[in-house]
Amino acid sequence: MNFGLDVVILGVIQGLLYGALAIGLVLVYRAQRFVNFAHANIGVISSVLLGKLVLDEHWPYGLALPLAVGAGVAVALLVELTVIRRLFRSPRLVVMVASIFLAQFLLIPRLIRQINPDQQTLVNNGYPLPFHPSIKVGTLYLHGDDLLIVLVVPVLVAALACFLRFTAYGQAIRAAAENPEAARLAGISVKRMSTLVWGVAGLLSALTAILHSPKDSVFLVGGSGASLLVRALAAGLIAKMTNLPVAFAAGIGIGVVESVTFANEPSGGVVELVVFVIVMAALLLRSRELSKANRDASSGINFGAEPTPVPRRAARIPAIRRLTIGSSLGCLVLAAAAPVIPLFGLNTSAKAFLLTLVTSYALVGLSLCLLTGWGGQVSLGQFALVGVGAYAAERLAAHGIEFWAIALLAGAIGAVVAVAVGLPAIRIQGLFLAVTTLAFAVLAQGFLFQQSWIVGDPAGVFLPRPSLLHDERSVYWFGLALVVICTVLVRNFRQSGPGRMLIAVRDNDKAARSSGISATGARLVAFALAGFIAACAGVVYAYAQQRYVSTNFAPDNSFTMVTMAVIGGLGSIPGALLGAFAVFGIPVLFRGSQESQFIQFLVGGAGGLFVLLFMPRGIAGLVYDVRDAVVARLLRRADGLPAPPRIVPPLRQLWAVARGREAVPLS
Amino acid sequence: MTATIADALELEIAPEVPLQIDELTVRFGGVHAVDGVSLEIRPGETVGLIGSNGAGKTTLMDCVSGYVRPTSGSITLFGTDVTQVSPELRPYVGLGRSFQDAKLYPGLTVLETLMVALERHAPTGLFAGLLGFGRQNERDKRYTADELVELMGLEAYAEKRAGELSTGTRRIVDLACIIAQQPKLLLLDEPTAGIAQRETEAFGPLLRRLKDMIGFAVLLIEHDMPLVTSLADRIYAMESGRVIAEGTPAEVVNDGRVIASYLGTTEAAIRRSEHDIPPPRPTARRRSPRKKVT
Repeated sequence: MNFGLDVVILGVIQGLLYGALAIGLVLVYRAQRFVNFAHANIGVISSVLLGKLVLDEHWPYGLALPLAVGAGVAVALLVELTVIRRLFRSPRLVVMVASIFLAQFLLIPRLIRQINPDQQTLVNNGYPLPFHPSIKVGTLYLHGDDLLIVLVVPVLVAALACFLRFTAYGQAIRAAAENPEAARLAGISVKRMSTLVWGVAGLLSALTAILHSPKDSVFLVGGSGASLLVRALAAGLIAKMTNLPVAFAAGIGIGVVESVTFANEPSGGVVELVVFVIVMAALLLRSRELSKANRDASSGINFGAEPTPVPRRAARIPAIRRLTIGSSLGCLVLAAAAPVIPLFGLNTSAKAFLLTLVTSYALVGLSLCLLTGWGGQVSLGQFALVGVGAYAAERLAAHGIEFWAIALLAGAIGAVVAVAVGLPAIRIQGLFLAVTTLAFAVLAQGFLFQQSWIVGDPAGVFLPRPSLLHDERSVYWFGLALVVICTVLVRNFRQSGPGRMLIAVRDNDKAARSSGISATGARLVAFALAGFIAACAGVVYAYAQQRYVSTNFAPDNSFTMVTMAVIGGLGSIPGALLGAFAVFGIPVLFRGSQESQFIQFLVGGAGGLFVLLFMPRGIAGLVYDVRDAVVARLLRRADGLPAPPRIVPPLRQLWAVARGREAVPLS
Repeated sequence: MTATIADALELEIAPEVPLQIDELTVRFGGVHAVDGVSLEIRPGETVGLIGSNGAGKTTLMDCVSGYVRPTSGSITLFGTDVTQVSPELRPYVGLGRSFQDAKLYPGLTVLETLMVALERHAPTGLFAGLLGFGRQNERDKRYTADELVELMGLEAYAEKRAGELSTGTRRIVDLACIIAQQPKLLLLDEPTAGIAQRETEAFGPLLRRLKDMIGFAVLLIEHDMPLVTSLADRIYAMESGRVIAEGTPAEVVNDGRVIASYLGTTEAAIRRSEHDIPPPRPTARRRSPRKKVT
C-alpha cells in the first residue's frame, strides 16, 4: 500500500472541495429537510463566467471574481424566491424532485456558447488563476490551483463558522433550522432565513465551482457533477446531515481515502466502488437518526396524477365503453403504424431508430410510474438499470439465447440488481432511495460498466441483431410490443391486491402494517418490478444502438428520466407513456437527430419545473380532466338530464393554469 | 396424547386471554415512557386507558401494536408471546388497530381501502395480480367491500378517495375496515378525537353493536370520561409511565390519586349534565364468543 505524504496531501486538497460542498448540502438540509441535488450546479454559471471574462474579455482576475461569484449567489437567491419558496409547504419529496430539475436547468449556462470561454483558448491557457507559483513538497509539486484551494477553503469555512456562531443572523438561521415554529414565535422570519441560507449556499457553490474548474474539466465540458455530488453527499450522511464540522472533516477524509485508493489501484474505477461503499455504510449506520428527522417528511407522497376513478355505473354505459376501447386501440394502431407513415420522414430508418429509443424511454417511464408514483420512492439510477439490461442482453446473446428470452432474463437480472440497491434505503423512508440510487448510477458508469468480467469489453460492446429484428423498423415493433406487454402488467398490478398494498404503504405505512401488510415486502416488490421493466428498456435500447459504452448510461440520463415522468404525470400509466412521447417523441417528428442537447435540457429541466409548479398532475392531468368531462356528459345523457357546461379545451385550461386561475368552462 | 373432549370444553369455557402485559418498560434515553406496567384484558372485555398527556398511554399501545420495542417485559396476545414479533404479523394473531388521526390511505378510494383491509383474508399473489389470474379472489374482495359499503351507508363515497373525505366519514370507513378485518382484540386510540360532540355520543352504541357483531375485546384510550365510563368494564389510569389505579369505572373515578393527577375536582369533566356515571357492573364476566347471540 502506498500511503506517501504526497498522496495524502493531494487527497486533502481534493477533500477540502468535497467538504465545502458537503457544508452547503447540510446547510440546506438542516434548514429545509431535503437533499438539494442542484447544489453543485448552482456554481456552474460562476465558473463559466469567470473563464469567459478573464480568458476572452481579458478582465483582471480580481475584478472578474466578485462578478462571477455574485452571479452564482444571484442564481441561488432567484431559485429560492421563485421555486423553493413556492414549494414552502409542499412535501419534502416534491421539493427534492424540484431540485433534481434545477440541477438540469442550471447546466444551461454551459450550453450557451456566447457566455462560455472559447474552447481553444481554454485548452491553450488553462482555466484562469490569480497566481502561478509552484511549491515542491517532498516529491510533489503543488501548483496555483492546489494552493488556491488550500488558501481559500479553510478561510471560507472559518468565516462561515463565525457567521453562524457569533452573528445574530447566524443564530437565527440555526434557530429556524432547529425548530421553525418556535423560531417564528420568537419573531424570526423563517422564509427570510431560507433565502439567507440559499444565498450562503450559492456563495459556497460558486466558489467551489471556481476552485474546482482548473483541476477538472467537469464544470466546463460534458458530464455533470454527479460523482462530485455523491462524494459530498457521503460526507453529509456521515455527519447525519446536521453537523457542519463533521461534514467538513468527513469531506477531507473521503478525499484522502479516494486519493490513497487511486494511488494503489488506479484502473477500473475502484475509487467509485469505495465511494459507493462509503455512501451505503453511512446510510446504514446513520439510518436511525436520518429517519427520525425524516419521518413526517416522507409519508403520504402523492404526485396527484393518479386517475380519478370512473364511476362503475359509467363503465357499463356502451358509449363510454366504446370510447375507452376505441381511444386506446386508436393510439396503439397509430403507434404501430408510425414507422410506415410518410409524414415528417417517419418512414426512414433513421427516424425508426429514434422512435425505438422513445419506446425504451416509455418503458423507463412505466417503471418510474410504479416506483415513484405508486411506491413514493424517487430513483436517480433508473438509467443505470437500463444499462444493466443492455449489458446483460449482450452477454446473454453471446450464449446464443433467443431475443425474447433475453428480454425476460435481462429483466430478471435488472430486478435482482434493483432490489440489492434499494435494500439499504428500505430502513430509511422516502428521500434516501434517491441517494443510494444516485450512488449506484455513478458506480455503474464508473465501475461496473468498466469491468471486463461484467461487461466483456469496457471500450464498447456490439450486440448482433437476430434475423427477426433485421432492420430498424422491426426493432421498433419489438420495443412497442414490450411497451404493450409491460403496460398490461403494470395495469394489472395497479388493479389487484399487490398494487393497492403498495399505495397503502406509501400513504400510511403504520396503518398498512396494522392491517397485516408488510411494508418492506411491498416496497421490495416495487423495486423488483421497476428494475425488471427498466432492464427490459435496456434490451430495447441495446438492440436499437447495437454498439454502446458506459457513457451511454451516465447519471444525467437518470435525471432526465425523472423529469420525463413528472412531465407526463407520475402515478398514471397514460402519463408515463405521454411523458416519453412529449419529451422525446415530439422532437423526433421535427428534427433529424437528437444532437441538440440544449433543447433537451430546456425541455427537461425547465419543463419539469413548470409542470411541478403550475400543473403538478402533468400532461395526464389534462387528459383526465377531458375524460372526466366527457364521462360526466355521457352519464347525464344516459340519465336524460340536460347537458353539462361545455368541456374546457386543454390549451385553454393550460393557459388558465399558467396564469394561476381556475379554468372556466366556455358558455 | 390425544385431546379429550374435556380439553376441548376447557378451551371453550376459558378462551385464551386476549392481552397480557407483564412488567413492561420502555425507555427513551433516560426517560421511562412506560415503567413496569402490567395489564390484562379478559375475553370480551372493554378496558379503558386514561391519563394525562405524556402518561405513556399511546406508547403502551404502540408497544402492543409493535411499533415500539419494549426495553423489558413481555406482551402476550391470545397466548402467543409477541414481544419480538414485527407489527405486520400481529394482525394474524387477531390484533386490530384504529389510529387517532384516521388518516387511512389518502390515495385510495373507499372501496380500495376496504379491499386492502380484506387482503389478509383473501390475498392475491404477486404473479396472479400481474398476469391477471386470481380474479376470483379479487371479485370476492370487491363483493365483500360492496356489502360493507352498503352496511355502513357509504354508497355516496364508495368511489371517492379517502383524502377527500371529512374526518367523521373517515372514522366510519375506519370502522368498516375493522369489520372487514374481524380482529379479536381491537386497539382504539382516541376514537372521538376531532369529531363533534353529537357524534361522540353516537359512538358508544356503535362500538357496542360492533362488539356484539364481531365479539372482540377492546383496549380504549379516550379523554371523554362519560364515554369511557359508559363503555369500559374496567379502567386503568396511568401517570408518568405507571399504572396508578385499576378497577371498575366507579372505583377509578373516585380514586384519590386519579382525581388528583388527572380528573381534577370539577364534576363537569366526569359527567355530562344529563348523564350519571353508570352503576358499577359485575367485573369481567367470562363469556365465550361462541355463546353470544348475534
